[in-house]
Amino acid sequence: MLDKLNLSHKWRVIMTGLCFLTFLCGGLILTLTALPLILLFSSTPEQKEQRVLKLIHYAFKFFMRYMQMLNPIASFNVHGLEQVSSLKGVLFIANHPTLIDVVAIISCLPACQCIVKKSLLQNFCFGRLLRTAGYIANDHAVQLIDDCARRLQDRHSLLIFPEGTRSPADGLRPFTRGAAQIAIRTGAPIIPVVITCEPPTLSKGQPWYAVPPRPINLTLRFLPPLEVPSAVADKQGVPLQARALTQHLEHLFQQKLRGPKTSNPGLLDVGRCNPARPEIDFGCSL
Amino acid sequence: MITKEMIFARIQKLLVEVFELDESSIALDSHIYEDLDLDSLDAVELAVTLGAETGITLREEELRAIRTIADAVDILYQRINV
Repeated sequence: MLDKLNLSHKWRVIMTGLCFLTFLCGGLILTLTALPLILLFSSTPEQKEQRVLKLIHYAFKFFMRYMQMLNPIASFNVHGLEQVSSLKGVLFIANHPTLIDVVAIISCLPACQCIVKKSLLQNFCFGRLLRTAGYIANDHAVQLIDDCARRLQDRHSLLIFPEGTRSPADGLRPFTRGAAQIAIRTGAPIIPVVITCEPPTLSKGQPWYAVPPRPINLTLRFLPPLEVPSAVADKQGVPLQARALTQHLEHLFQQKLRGPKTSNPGLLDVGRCNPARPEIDFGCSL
Repeated sequence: MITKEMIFARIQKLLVEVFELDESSIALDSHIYEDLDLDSLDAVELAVTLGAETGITLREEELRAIRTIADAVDILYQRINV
């Protein structure tokens, strides 16, 4: 058996390219094969949605293992999932250090919808899958809040990246207030998901073949449902509450990403990954 | 007759009340997103509040066209004084 750590840089460039290709082709193949079968054998829109969500979940689960097998990823560690996996109608809010965050998170959650760029819902390879799964476009703020509220009332969970796009290399982007607006207007519990990636990979503007010096270690940490502090609840009106909650979330993520390792066992304090290719970024701007 | 100055004064007061903005930071040429740090949902919130007071419902395209406080004042002035 080949020692993964000794695989050459060039080999990992090829494998990374293969992963990109597999992702795009995989989306197209599922759109042409599994999706028509689901549409044919599902009687209600809800059933179609649930089945396509599961399909995406298992496809992403496979893809995470595939990336570990081909070596772009050395390790994928998940902490705290057991305490939140049974919850429904919650908002998962995550930082966004790397291109594969959404794939990693959805590989852990079988029925979670995501807010994505509108262009992604029109993507030739997997746009139809995402549309059928009920993924929400982020292009219209008011419509977006209505859509999210409806999903959450139906006990669906949502994934939002409040930075709007991938994090910069040196930390977090300022959080946009959309996630907090949704949480306050719907009363949905917030589950923060802290993501770390070491070493950083695929910086924004860098080509996909600029792979890091060694395979990445990706860690997801699902935190317990957020307790909204009185400093937020005491504010008068949604706009001020949304501002306070956004600030609270931003501080929480900064603290978790920079905090002492001892207070966060299992969470690698390794800084943040660089942003990566925008054209297939699932990140949303709220 | 409602003047533009009256509309501006009301918007200014609302921005202070609803968003806790500093009154002195609000001018006619203030950009509502860049200078006042509002977002599109805040703009809707403001439009709804103003609509409740004036009975005017701003159309989506009108709301999208608003960039500065002066834009908002002009649109409301035109709608009120039709």
